Amino acid sequence: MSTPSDRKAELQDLLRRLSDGGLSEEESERLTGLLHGDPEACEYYLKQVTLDATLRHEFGGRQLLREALPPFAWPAGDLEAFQGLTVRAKGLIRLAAAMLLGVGLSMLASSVWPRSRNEPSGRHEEGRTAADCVATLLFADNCEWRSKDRLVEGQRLSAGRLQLEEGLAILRFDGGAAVVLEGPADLEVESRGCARLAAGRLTVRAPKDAAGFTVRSPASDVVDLGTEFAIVVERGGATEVHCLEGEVSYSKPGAPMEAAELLGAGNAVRYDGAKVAAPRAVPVKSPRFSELLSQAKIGPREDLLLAHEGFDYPVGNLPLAEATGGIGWAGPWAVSPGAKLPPGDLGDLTIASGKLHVAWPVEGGRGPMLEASPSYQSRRRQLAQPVRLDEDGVYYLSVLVRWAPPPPALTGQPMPSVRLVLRSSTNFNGDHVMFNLPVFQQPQLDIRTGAIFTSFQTVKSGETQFWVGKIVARRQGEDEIFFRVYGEGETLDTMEPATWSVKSRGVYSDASLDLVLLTKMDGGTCWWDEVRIGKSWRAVVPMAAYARNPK
Amino acid sequence: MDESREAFIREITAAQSSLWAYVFSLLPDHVAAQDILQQTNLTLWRKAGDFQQGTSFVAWASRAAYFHVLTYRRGMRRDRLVFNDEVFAYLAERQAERLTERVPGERVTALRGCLEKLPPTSRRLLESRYAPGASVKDLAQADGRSVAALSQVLYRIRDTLLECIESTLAAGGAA
Repeated sequence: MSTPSDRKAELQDLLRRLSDGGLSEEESERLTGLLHGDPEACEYYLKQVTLDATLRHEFGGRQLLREALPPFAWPAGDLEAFQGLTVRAKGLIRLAAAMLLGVGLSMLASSVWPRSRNEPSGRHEEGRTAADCVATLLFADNCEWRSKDRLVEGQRLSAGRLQLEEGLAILRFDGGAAVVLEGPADLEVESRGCARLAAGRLTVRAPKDAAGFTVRSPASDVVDLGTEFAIVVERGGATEVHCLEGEVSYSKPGAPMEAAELLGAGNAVRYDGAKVAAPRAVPVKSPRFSELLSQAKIGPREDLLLAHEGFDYPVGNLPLAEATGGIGWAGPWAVSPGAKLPPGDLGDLTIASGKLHVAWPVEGGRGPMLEASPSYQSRRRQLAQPVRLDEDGVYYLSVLVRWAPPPPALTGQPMPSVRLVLRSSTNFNGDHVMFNLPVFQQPQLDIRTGAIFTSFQTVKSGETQFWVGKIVARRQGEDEIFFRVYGEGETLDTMEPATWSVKSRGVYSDASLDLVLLTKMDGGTCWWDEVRIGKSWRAVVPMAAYARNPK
Repeated sequence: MDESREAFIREITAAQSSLWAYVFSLLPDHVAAQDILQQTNLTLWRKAGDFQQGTSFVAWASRAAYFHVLTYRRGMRRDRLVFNDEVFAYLAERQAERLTERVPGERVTALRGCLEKLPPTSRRLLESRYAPGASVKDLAQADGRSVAALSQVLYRIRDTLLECIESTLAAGGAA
């Protein structure tokens, strides 16, 4: 006879199976048997399955809603097929579609139209998607690669071979492990949590929640158990494994898991050849991950800055024609199309001073800056070099922001927010990239009207923030956009972080974005400074000459 | 704009996550559950005039969903049913009670707060797991782990989340 704890364990096991794959007929029967007449088990089931449903809704909302919302939210073709309703019902549905945009479901409803209606369909469909990528190249100075493709910092990497002839590169796998690759090296990126090192030296730092990261080599497979280790593969296949912190397991390639040996911190082993069955102990002589980062000299890359505006103008009113400072611009600031000015207002900029609390080693932010009074709506400036989503490339941007939001708006009023938007001068209302902070303080990305991605993170209202955006543009394939808001209490990362406040999904655009807009919707006062657009994290995020304590 | 229609649209919008949880708990097959949710939504639109302002929208809507699930079950082979009729009826009643105990969206808000507290890798793992079309099998393959190991990891993360959500809801505040 089974005990209550046996029954609970069995119930847990069945619920795990139910969530992760489904139940067989026998398992369904057993689940029914466990729930029958047991309110406690039923309660447990309902809690687990409600969470599972909520997670599916939260993370898979797009697919879910496409199929579950009434036809008002269906793509046009499907809508035509919707013949069975009465005229009144159809009217209600159209009404609902319009209303939904006003009641907060716009993101979900519009997500069924992930492509701009003006955009030709079919392009990019064959290209790479974000899901194909498994790692990011974080840092690559003086690197010589053997591949034809030019690899740039920030580039997302799919599974494939990396042959580094010279230099030092830092990669972060999407599973969480960061690695330093020292040339010459031959590395096959296999998945979010696995790589194969054919030659060279690889140092791995895997935080606890990235445990399980595996490096395969000709002589041994090494599995990280939440630690730091180095693996060196010499020509001919001799391989050394150095455990620098925590523990790793190692075994011959293809050996069963139970044959794996554990290697603790401060220990190293060497296989004298690929076919050698047993390794011998050797002294640890690999530098720590942090030492390698120090050697990498992760310094600023001003040379990769495309545009910069520090609002270095005299404090007071600044006529737009005189707002021509900074670098990388094709003209002065101007009033954005559609922005309304109060009577008698020519759109002059207001330059203020000392309104930001700059908690980071940023050059600007302490002197002059742009002030947006409650009546300010939007100003735009044209870039000399556009951000092109129709070509392969990686762009970053940053800006200092502080916004004292207005009191809660009346129902029906537009949502107060502050934004940095990239738009096209030739198709102003077409695809855009909007980094948006609405009054409810959850950072958002808005790629075109209605396609909104909202962060889980709520940022602190009223304090100075450092915004960083990243755009991975692909000529063929999905474009990826990331947005991170740093609050006053947060240290800026030396390299781009593993996590962002919010990122896009399913964006395909060919837009060429040559306008930068600083926009404030509805009330409150806002200050902006240090607008930067560049082609490296290090071009837009300030850092000491050489970062001493990178993460 | 008719105020009652406007209110109805707000209600149905806010109730989506509760309705989805209701249907999915009675029919834990996400494809079938999506169909049922869609049919339920259409019924609600058609019967909008029957809803009494001031009463629980989720209770009213889950009743409509219940009948759709029941109809669906009647069309299924007995051996494909996850629950027998008695367990199904109990779960339907209890789940409707659970969902109406809370303001629609409260559970989602608590979940979001708790997701923020998870280690980034755990959150990313959940995101990958629950992305449309994702499966534990594919994810395990991509990660180089066994399905059982990944399933166990996911279960632990969900357990942590559940604990956090329950304590957040019990405290009556945001996570």
